[in-house]
Amino acid sequence: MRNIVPILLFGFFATMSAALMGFGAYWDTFEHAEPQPIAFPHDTHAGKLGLECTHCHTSVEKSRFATVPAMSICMSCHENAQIDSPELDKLKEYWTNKEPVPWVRIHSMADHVYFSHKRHIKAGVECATCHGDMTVVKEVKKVRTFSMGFCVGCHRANNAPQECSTCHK
Amino acid sequence: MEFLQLNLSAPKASDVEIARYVVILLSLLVVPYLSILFGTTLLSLGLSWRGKTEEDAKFTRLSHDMADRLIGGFGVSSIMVLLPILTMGISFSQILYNTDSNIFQYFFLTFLIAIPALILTNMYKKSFETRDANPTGHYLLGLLALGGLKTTIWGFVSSVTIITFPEKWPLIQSLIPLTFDWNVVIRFLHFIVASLAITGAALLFFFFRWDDGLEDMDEGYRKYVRNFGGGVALGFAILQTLFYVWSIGTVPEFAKSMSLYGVGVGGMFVLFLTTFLLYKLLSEGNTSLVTPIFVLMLGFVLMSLVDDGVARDNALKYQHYALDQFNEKREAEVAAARAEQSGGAVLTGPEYGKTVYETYCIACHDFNNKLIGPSYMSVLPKYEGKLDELTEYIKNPVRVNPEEYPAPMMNTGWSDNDAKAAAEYLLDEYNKRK
Repeated sequence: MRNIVPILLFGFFATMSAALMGFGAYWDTFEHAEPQPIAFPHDTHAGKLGLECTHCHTSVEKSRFATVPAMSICMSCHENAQIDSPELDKLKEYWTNKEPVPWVRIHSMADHVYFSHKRHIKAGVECATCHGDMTVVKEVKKVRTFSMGFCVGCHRANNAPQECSTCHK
Repeated sequence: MEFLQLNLSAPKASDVEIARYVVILLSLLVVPYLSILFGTTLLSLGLSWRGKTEEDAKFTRLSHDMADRLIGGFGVSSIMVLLPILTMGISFSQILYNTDSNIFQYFFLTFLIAIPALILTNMYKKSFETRDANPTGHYLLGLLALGGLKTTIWGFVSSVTIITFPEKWPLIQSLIPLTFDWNVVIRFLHFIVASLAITGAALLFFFFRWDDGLEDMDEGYRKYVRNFGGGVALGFAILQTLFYVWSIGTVPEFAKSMSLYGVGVGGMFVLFLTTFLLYKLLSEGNTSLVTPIFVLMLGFVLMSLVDDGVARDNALKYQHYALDQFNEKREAEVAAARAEQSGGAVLTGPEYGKTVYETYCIACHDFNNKLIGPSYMSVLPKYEGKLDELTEYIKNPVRVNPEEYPAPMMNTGWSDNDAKAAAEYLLDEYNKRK
């Protein structure tokens, strides 16, 4: 009987450690975004150069989707600008091969949520409210969980519609 | 409450680096000490009550001995709790400079709650002298002290937890709604359970090792203390594991990283060793293990604080970048203000416009050739004699020919003066070349 207690203790802690490692593995497999195919520096474009978000995300004011910029937008500057960067070499390779850049999607809404960028921009919500200050980061990372609490909290604070059907159409 | 929104000077990256370590070291003072205060008050009050109802002297004695041995005076408590809480508030308001986190307010309120809590705890300790004469006063003080310490812990846990959840900053603006956030509630329960485990280990250490152990313990009392301290430490150490896994598993997505789980598993190993030694102590009655048990228990506290720090750093990555950016901007402003003060007049005219052109425009435009943007000779004809219109366009560019140039010219955010000077230079130069 006495010898069984240390084994039980070990079993308990091993199970708990496995649970933690399971959390880690789940995060690594499903939540942790892969690195982007091209290390696009948001801070250089939106920060140092001072480009507006709409400069590249052209649909954000007109459509539900902000859209990833078309490669032609990148190339309209980069055909000539900064030609010796290895990251731009990658971009040019995609461009020459007429292949889309396989960007890794960071932000996505659940399927049962209707979300319109256009409406939020019209209401005066800053891009940074949901996406963080892109003028200061190199890499895009989620800074909001986009949970219902986050959406509803902001709607409540700003007197925006709070009916279920506003988002769950 | 506005005066509590402490916004000191913008810290540099190196200051933030120091503050990150300072807060972990300070929590290493507050967390174990507050845990022991709370655990001791709770257990000694329970034992005192049990001693009275069952009329067993060992309960009465242990409750008194615990309070005597484990509750420090008000001076010690101030150094271990009050000062660190206030300093943590200041350090965090430096780390969270220029955010809507309200962080200093939370720490300051916790500090205010902690003052009466510590005084009451000290009064409860002293009330043992008059326990027999005034039992009601003794129990009342115990309950009040317990309530005060519980509220202090709740405030402290709330203040620390909210930092890892930046998305809640704008939504929660005061301490009371914050305390009812379920993330806070879980971490508060974790703290309470952990505090009992730490108190059990501290009881063993301070009764059997510290200062050569407590004097006048007969064999029966020794055995009781050993089994009580060991049992409490073992039971609550196992229970706290569940909360530990829960709180690591529920950090927000952007606060997660492999090191968070790595440190977590390391902490689990330390806790396993602790419980194993506690089992050995209980089964073999070997009190020489009390020091390693106490040290390992503190080691586990340190590891969970480091893990909290890892989650916090991940969640605040943006804030670190933002501070760098803020400082760069401020330095530029200071340099500009200095230049102006030293007599630099505001520059104007086409000559200054040439400098603006050579600094910015030249990267994308040439007069004769198409580079990134169109050649000036092809687009300037429509602006001949229209200086104001050109200035306006430079300030607010729009897409003119989306087929050929999908992106508009960048909006540089120039001053009126710079835009006008550039336009003057461009039109002058165009007229000379056409």
